[in-house]
Amino acid sequence: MPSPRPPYDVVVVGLGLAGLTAALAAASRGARVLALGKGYGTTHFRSGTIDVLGYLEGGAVRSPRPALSALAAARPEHPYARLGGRVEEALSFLRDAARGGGVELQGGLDEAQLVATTAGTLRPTCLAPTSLLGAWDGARVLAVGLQGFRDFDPELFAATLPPVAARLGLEVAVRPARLSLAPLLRRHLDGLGLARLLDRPAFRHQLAEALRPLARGCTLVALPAVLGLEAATAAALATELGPAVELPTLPPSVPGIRLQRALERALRERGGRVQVGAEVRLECAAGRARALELEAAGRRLRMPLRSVVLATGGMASGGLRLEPSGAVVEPAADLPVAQPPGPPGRWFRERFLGSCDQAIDLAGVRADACMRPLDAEGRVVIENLFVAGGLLAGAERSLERSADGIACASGYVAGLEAAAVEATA
Amino acid sequence: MTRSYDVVVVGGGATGTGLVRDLAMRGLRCLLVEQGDLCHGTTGRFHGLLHSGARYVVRDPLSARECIAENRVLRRIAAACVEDTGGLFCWLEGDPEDYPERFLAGCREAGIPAEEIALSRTREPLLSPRLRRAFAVPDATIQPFDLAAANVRSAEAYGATVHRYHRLVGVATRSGRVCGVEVEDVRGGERERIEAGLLASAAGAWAGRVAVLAGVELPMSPGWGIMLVLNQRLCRAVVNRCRPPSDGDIVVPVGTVCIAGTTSRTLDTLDRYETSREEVDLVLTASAEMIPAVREARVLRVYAGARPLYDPGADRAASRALTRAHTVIDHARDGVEGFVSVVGGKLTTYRLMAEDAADLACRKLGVEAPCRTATEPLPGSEPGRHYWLGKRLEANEREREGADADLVCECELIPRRMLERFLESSPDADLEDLLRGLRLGMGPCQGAFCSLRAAGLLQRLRPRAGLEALSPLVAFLEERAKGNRPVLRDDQARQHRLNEIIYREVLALDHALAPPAV
Amino acid sequence: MTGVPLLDEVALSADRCIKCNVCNTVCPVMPATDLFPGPKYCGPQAQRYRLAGPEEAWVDYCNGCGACTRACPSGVRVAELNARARAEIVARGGLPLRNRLLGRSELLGRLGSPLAPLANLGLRRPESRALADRLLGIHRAAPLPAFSRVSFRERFRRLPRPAAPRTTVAYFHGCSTNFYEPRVGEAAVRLLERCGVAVELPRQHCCGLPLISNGEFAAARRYAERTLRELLPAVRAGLPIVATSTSCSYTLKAEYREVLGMWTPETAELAAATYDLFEFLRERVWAGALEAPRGELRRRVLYHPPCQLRSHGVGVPAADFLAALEGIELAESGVECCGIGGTYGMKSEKYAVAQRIGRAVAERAREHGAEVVACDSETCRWQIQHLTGLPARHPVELLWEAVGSAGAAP
Repeated sequence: MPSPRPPYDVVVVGLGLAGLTAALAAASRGARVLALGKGYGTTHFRSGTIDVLGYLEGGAVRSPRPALSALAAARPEHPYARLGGRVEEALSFLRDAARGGGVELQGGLDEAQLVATTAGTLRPTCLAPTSLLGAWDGARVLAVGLQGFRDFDPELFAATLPPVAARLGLEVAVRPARLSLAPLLRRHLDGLGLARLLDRPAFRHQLAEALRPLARGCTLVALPAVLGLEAATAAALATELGPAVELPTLPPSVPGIRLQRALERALRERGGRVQVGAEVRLECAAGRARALELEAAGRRLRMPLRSVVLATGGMASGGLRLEPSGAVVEPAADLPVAQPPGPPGRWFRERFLGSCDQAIDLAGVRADACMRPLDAEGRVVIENLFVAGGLLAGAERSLERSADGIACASGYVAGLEAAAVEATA
Repeated sequence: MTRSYDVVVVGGGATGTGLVRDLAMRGLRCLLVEQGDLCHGTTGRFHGLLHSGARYVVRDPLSARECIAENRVLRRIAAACVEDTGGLFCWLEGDPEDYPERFLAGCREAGIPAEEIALSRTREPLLSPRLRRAFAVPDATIQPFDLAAANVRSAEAYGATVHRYHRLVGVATRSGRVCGVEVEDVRGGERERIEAGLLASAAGAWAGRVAVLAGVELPMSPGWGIMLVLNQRLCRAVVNRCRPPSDGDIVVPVGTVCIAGTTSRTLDTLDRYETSREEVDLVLTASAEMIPAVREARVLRVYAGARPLYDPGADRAASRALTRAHTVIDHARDGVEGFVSVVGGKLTTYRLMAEDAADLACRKLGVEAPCRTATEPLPGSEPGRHYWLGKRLEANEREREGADADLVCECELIPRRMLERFLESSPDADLEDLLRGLRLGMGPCQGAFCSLRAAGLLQRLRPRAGLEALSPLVAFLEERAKGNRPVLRDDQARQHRLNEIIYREVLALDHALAPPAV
Repeated sequence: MTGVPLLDEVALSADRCIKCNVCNTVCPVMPATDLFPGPKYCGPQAQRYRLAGPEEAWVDYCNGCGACTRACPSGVRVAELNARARAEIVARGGLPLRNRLLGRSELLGRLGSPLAPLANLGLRRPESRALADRLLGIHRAAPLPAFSRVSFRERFRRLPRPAAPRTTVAYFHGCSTNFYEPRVGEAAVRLLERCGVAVELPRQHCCGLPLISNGEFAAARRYAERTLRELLPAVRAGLPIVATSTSCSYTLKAEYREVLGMWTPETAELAAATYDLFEFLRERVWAGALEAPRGELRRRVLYHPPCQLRSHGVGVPAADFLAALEGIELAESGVECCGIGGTYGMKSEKYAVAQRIGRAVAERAREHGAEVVACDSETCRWQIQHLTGLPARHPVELLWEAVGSAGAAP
């Protein structure tokens, strides 16, 4: 009986930013790719922006490029230190892929951009869709709350944004308004429902008509981030209304979904296969990942592997799990996990919104420059398995605002490396 | 014009609110002052149990007798706050052989109906396979905030005044007799002198502090215990262990959650209790002996409450062994007239404690009026119509007029209108008050979604200027996280990370109130 | 009341919900009707209240597609929780006659098949459909199938058997193949024969899925027990159970356990031995025991993987086989759900919702210029035909069309 042939060249576990970037990278090298996962990573929670490095040593990063070098030099264990110059390459690749899927990401490593949120805060980011970027300095903003949509209260935004902006040297005036339109009077209206409404030209027109008199004298209309599931909607609205910006809010994040779906579309167009709902275990022996075990209905399905990218995420996505015993584990392939430093009682910071380190964030799988998993002694554990994204150790993503950049860059490298793995006899 | 009252009650927990109601019903002009929100102290941090008394039949029969009597009374007068869950005492393989018989005998003596039931009929699918015998008793569970609020509404209907966020800062005496108090508005800072015929302290664990203000020493021994909030109800009835009381041997279904507890540590602090992982594990292990699923269950948070134990013998070591029965003290014995304290006890017997204290107060004031608190139902309560878990869901299912889109707290099914109504009746409420009054943020997401929405609603109805608008939100999130932190693992650790992503990485609240970036 | 064990692993899975909303983002029903609050609300959120037995209404608008369970990153069995909640409603409030009828597809088949031409005429006449709409609540335009005069089981005897079979399977045809579309079963048996696989036909009845979907759990449980009695002997004789209806096979693999709560060694045994036809063939190809069947099919085909196939968690094996056919211009629909939800979209009050959900499939078919739509589930095929006006075929029919004309097996 001939030995089983792997049906795919590269299998990517994880459908978030790291996984999809890895899958796209592998596909770009001609590999037959299967991307599978449970859920969509944290894309549906985040704002559809790519945060590369927002803060370093407590200070806001104005220019990510030099800050990345500084970080890499200061923290050789950090994923950015491993990835080096490939970060820029990865971002460029991502931007192209997103564009192919219909989402235009603006910005780069030279200068951070500011994104305003529904809480009235301003935060730095590296790449952002056009619809999230506004000309804030000197802006007179009309902040519009929509009847039935509960995740944006313009009064809160109006109170908070001016002083927040002032601290950054920006002058912003905000006028709150609330709009009630017939199509909004529904029993169940969430961000997605609103986005679908806005995808319809008739509703957009109605909204623009209703807002125009309110927006007189304003330079910018601020709406919650629900400006359509289709990438063209935000621009179409701006055409009718004038400059408009969408503000990230609670999940589900419409801009996040747009980006994730754009990348998934791009992958499918390149012949990649996507499977949602897959709970996966990896069968590894003698330093190789031999097979994937899928928790299918009624039975486990065993799929032989040529190479695999593990992009199952960090603690939010279940890629890393904090067990009752107190250990952080990686459940899919049981890779060695660098544990958080210090005693368990101190793994989580004292204040939820505090600015000090949080030991638990540093836990994860260590990797080399090719994103191969390492053990505590720095030896490669598995030859044909590559790790990417939230799974990686050594980064304080919440403090640094580095999650997306790490996901993108590590995913890119992992995908390329996985595609380069030769088929074994 | 200085305000003047017959009685000033200190303490807005179950006992204090019960006392001010009792006194007001007897025709006295009363003022209640509470330094925080209602149930700020022990009442807001207890296990949720309306004891049948069965737990105490062997070691503390007096307590047991009081419990069953008050259990019946509260079911009648506070039906809307009481859920008729029933209780089970579980005797597991390996437990003391003689305990069940002593238990049954004790229940008989105390008049507590206890019935052995067949294991197949417990209606509890998750009980341990090591269960050998089960006894049904009339335990129930009680919502403390609703209870205290109902007592307050009743008291106010009878003419009493209730001031939350007012701390007692001084007691005035003249010739060894209390003649007045000084209170401070905690939020505004203003102080006020008030005349009082009698000072009644129902300040729980703070009773010692209150006594000091009157020049009296009252040795209180805070007996701390932790409670773990589990995300789902793993049992229908209160599940107890049929053996001598010890740590972690009760699992109580209250509202949408169940609460496993408790422990017992004497610590001389009123609010700084640090929960250790070991203590958490102790409770989980003990509870899991009765309900193994507790091991895998999601623990939302941990909180600690201090039993306000009165310790005349200064034997601080054996906190649990101190009687749970209450004590009413006439401080004339300490040389101060016009000052009484009611200490000890448990929530189940709050009304009785209040009655005893009110009886003493009336005697001292020369007022003859019978206590009617056991017969008149609290506002909102109709005998026989108990709280039930499905209420909010059913109400939401029936709602056909668009309000569903307005669920501010999805976990606990709180629509916008409910919040707005609450704010109308409590104009200076903040998010913590909404939590206590409506259960905002008490579900599995621990405020992830409702915090921002409620903060926005609060800003719309009670605007604050500038960055102050974010203060309620920040404070609320910190308070929630404080209780989450000691128990983060598995799903709750995931939730915590999601919440971080939302409030730090998406909404950037961590830098909102921080000094400007370099 | 429904007989489902309280607080079993499906019920406790609600514990894992972190309210992330991902289930809501994939639910096809939410955008199509205002009456459905969404899987997060009806699933893990309401679950925390269900111990008290509250009366619920809106969960009935869930169409059972399972997208929520698939997408959930935390492992909450959302669709299963919804299905059980619906059964509670039924246990409490009873079941309309319509739902009783729709739940009994085998009975309907047995009654209608012998009377086929007449029965089909009846089903087509606008007057009888209007009557059914008014009296029963089956929408006049609902995509109902046509009865077949000769059942599949009758035809089976005349189908070829391989001379030297490499292996043998037991075929679970399901009600629709037997009474409505025997050609699907024929194509399956012929294809298997061509692949050297002998087919046995054990005694079998309806798997009970329509009863489960309509919340009639007590009857469903009886059907499940009967299915176990009838199929386990074949399983124990070493025969895999192979099905062409991905709905039937999903029921055997998962629904008895996860929805009905029948957590027994027997249901686990049956589940482990059940395969979708293409899943079975693919496994043999991956193991090197079979060469993928070759053939030519010069047609523009849109493949729509049914919800219940995706819940199997085995990917889309049929698409792999179709893609290997020479000359085929194949596209996948990329649409979450065609809307029919089994019997859901046949109901008067839900028909419009189902049509709105399925619109996207029609759009995709148009975009692709499809001549035919392939889909492994019968009710989906009827719905898609209705939505697109195009013929809808089981992938095995297309495979057989290509392979059958290509000559004998290697």
